Amino acid sequence: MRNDLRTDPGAVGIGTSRRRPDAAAKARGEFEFAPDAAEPGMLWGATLRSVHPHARLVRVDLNPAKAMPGVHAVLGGWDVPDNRYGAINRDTPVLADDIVNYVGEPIAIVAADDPEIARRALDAIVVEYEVLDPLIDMMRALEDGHVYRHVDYTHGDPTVVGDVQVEGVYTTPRQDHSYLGLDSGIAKPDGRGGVIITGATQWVHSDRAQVAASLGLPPERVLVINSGVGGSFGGRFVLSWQIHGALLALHTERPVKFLYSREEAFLARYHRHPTRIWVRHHATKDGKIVKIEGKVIHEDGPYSNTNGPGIGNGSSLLQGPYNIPNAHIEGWSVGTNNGMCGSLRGFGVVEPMYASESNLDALARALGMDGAELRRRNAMKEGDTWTFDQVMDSPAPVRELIDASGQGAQPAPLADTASGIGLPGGIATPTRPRDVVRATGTSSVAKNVCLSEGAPVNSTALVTLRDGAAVIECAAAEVGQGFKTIAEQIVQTTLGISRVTITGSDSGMADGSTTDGQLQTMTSGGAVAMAAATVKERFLRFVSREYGHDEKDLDIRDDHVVLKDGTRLMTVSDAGMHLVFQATERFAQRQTWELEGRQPGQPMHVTFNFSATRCTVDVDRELGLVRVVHMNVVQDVGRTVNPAQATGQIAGGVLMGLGLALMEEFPYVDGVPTRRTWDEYLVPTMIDAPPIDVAFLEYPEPRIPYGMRGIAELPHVQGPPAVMAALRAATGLPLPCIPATPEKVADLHPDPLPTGAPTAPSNKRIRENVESARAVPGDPMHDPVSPRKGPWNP
Amino acid sequence: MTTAVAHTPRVLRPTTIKEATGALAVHPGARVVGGGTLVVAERSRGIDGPASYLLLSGIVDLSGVSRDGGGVRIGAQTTLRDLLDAEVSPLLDVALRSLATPQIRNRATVGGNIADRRPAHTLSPCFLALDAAVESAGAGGTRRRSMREFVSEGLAGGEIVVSVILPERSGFQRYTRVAPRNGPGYAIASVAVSIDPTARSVRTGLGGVGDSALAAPAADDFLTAAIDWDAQTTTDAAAAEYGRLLAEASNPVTDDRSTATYRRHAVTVMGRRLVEAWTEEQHHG
Amino acid sequence: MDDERISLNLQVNGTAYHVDDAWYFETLLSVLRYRLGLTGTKQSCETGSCGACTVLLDGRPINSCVALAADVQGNVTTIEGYSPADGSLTPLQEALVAAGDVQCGYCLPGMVLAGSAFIADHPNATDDEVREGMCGNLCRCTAYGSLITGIREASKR
Repeated sequence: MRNDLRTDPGAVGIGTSRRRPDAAAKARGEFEFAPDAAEPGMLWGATLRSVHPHARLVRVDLNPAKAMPGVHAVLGGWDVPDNRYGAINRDTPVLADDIVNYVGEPIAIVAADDPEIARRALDAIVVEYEVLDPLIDMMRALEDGHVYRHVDYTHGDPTVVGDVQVEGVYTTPRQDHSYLGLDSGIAKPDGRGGVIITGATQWVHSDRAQVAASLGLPPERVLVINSGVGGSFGGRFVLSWQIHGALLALHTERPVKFLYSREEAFLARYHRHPTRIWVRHHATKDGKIVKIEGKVIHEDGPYSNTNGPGIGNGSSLLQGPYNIPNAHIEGWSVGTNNGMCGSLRGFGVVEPMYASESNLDALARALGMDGAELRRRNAMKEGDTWTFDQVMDSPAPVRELIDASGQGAQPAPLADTASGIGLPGGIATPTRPRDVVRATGTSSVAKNVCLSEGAPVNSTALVTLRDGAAVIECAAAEVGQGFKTIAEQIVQTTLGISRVTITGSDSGMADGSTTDGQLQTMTSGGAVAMAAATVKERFLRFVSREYGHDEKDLDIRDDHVVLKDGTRLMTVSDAGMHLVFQATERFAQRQTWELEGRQPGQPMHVTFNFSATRCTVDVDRELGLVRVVHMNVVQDVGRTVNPAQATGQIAGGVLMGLGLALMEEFPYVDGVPTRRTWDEYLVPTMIDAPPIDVAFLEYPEPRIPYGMRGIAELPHVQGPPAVMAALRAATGLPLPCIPATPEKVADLHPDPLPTGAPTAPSNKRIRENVESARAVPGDPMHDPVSPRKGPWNP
Repeated sequence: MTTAVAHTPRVLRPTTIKEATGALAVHPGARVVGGGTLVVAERSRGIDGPASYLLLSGIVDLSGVSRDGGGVRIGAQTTLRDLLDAEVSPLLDVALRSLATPQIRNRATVGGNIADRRPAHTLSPCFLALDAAVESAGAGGTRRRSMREFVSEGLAGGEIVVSVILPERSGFQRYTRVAPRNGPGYAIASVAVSIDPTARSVRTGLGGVGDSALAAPAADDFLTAAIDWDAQTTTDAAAAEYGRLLAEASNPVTDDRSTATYRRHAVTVMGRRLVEAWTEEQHHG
Repeated sequence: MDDERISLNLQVNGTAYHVDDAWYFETLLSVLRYRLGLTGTKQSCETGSCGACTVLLDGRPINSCVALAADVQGNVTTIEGYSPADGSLTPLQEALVAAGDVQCGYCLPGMVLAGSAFIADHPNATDDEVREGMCGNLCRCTAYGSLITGIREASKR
């Protein structure tokens, strides 16, 4: 299915490319993002950060900073009422106590009249470090037992041996979210002992719980308001400046603004965890996969934070979108001093899917079989059972996706432009057309949709209809992904009216869940649909009573009350007689359970989505230069709510995956990050971006209004294996480590990996960090429906 | 249009070269600002910036591209955009478009670019290939050096770049680079070469394979001798040997961006292909 | 510290502004956003790498984050000055939002200003011309496809 992608502000309802309500304001520069906000009497906050990956703080003297004119507050760890926070595990210090565990860890904070004075105040703070040896190697961390979570499970008969066995060790790098909108916001006293925090976030309710707990305040004393968010990609799930801002606001009794610099964002914030994954496929000679074995290691930084669900995802989804009857999978999340790690689009799934798809490329080669054909033969279908013992009880059209990805437009022929812009290497490339090998590769991937393993996934929405127009209130965060647009479309279709708007989001509203795990369309969207349906029911009941029609004969279409045969009776506006029709509904996804120890029938994941992609690359093998020429992406989206937005989300996610495949890496050397600007950490530019065709399948998601399914993480999962399958076809190289930089593609890079599986004593599970974690009162993770212990509720 | 209100001159605004060098002699800590694109970014990232800035933008004598016979004089304050628009050399055209974005080209200056000696960012390999000279000024007056001398010595304390002077040079002029992405930014390694049939001379500049841009005199001499200038051709073996000699002239490191092995390999291949391209251009169009 | 403050005179969107307490090292971006309140110019990379802070200086796009405010002569146009005063969109702005794929939109003001200078110089631009001419503007949400389409369409004469 292909669609008209031009947006239209007047388009109404599900299936149209209704224009974002904020599009014009954004194009005119009037849309207020978090860094743009200001308050009268506002101070500027700044953060002193560790310059060492591991050190004891022998002395921290704040007094020289406190004495500076224009400085209003200087605070250290001892000023924090409860000096730990975390979105899942509460084990991260708000400000370091006596040890720093990564470069960039906050030690002290200041509030001053001006950002420059604040910066100079930081410089005046005296910190004496006793430098300690950092733990910087994930394999060493595993050997030493610095393990946050270990999982080990089998499926079917793990002793089965295939005719053909292919194994490999694959690595993925630390990736930065690199959203354009810097971390920023303003905290101000509410005048009643509490604090109001306005800034960019993915989940106002989680932020409120974390801030309140660290400040020792009841949650009602903290109001979190979401501002304009300049991208997120999983990067705003854990707090950054918010508790610091609240502390300073309460100390100074003035509004305090934080605005991280780009370099500070690199240092302070978490990144996608690097991984090292061993995988072995067993297959019959004709390409039927009979077993998968895997060992998955996530390097997860100095604090456990959100790492538990990451390794749960990583270990469970290693099999990919294939039916594999036997398995033995182990996974470890380990701690090092190489900076914080956490969720980034496709959390915990980008990496195993890359590893297993890469190993399938190798298996196809070993079998002498086309990669697409190998994947077709093993494609999962509805009714199959995942290796983690969950029946695939919703559509899994994997074979159809693979076939569809092989159709569609072919890329343009090799361009011989004088500038080289159409050749690998870009402008000034040494590559000539005759140096180019063109090849295609096919890859298919799956991802869990919604949070898994017992995490509460629910949202509440309020819909109000008055004078023929509806207003939606839902706290779900709009981070750029387009929730507000699709919420309006859902209400338009459900209520049969055109005038629908949606309000902002704050923690005074009912919980709208997190903008994570590609869950909002099918969760908050579900709540919005249910609330609109209830409003419609109440409205038509009123019309029935007031105007004497049988309720069963009435409907709403095109802003009119109609009879079922389409006869227009009156406008919705007139029929409502200025009365208010309102409904609040909560939509909860089904309960899930922790990977290990589930009873039969208990799902680990809520549901899944699938895609397949044919990617074409041009490669200069001698110099290792690559140009991705074209990608044809087909994804089962359940129901296309907004074709333009869905296409944009999918293409954008795939490009982010292309970045990870070819250029994005945030390396640490001796515990110190070496890239701190966008001249050093490279993301794809317009010249690097290929044309990406996006097509949809629409097999409705069961149990969800309109059959909608989340879409936006899977494309990032899809990008790396698609690019690398094509690159391997072009070069014949295994290319196990991404990003595939020129020296690797030119085969001049010494492979750093020993072969074989990592080994570690699995009983050496040390929980020093996890054990210090405490439950957060009022934490939305502690949903009454799911009081169980697990990775989400330690 | 802006004036410093305090008696300590935080912003120095000379209007002549002499004023500039005089001010630098009195305020040696002042940071010279051409377009500011590197200097300002550094200040934004650091805790302490320089105590004062000396702006070159008010010095009319430093601006503009002028042609003198067959040669070209490029004032230090010429923006990369104006240099591009002046269509001085196809080699510079491609280098400017690959290194810097349109926004940076509108602000960054030629003088600032070559004064910053980090080889991955600069046009210095191009000016080596064009056999340029650099005019610089200090308290003791102006001096003129070959680009080869300039890249190895750099500016002395208190000195500013005045101009880059390109001699008349005809024939094949090309720049290629390998980089970690196809879009704009630093090069891992770059090679600029000009092969002038009139002067019967070869000049090469290398970027990314040493502490600064490097010349490759041995490779230049080899290729000059290996070319049959009357027939405008050379052998495949000579092309390959030229590439090998470029690697020999290199002194690359393994760093965050790439490996020394790859850098040597890249200049070897780029050198060979450039000579092949020259040969083909002579005989196919 | 007082001796580190300077006064500035800037021409922005046709208005003469006087600022008398700027830091001598302050960027044009900082003055526009935090002293003149023109927050349509976006702060992001601070190294001239992303184009979010693009403004026009005498019609040419520059990165305001790496321009020293004390060293800016000429007429600065920000997104506030470029956008029609009646709240409508220019044909370029309309083409960009109609082409389909505004997401977070943080790149958009810089994209619009760089695009306006680009289409002035490139009538009937090809996709490759757009890719090269707009390579100084990063977008992290989209795959650039609709931005390329929008700018190409706006360049039609």
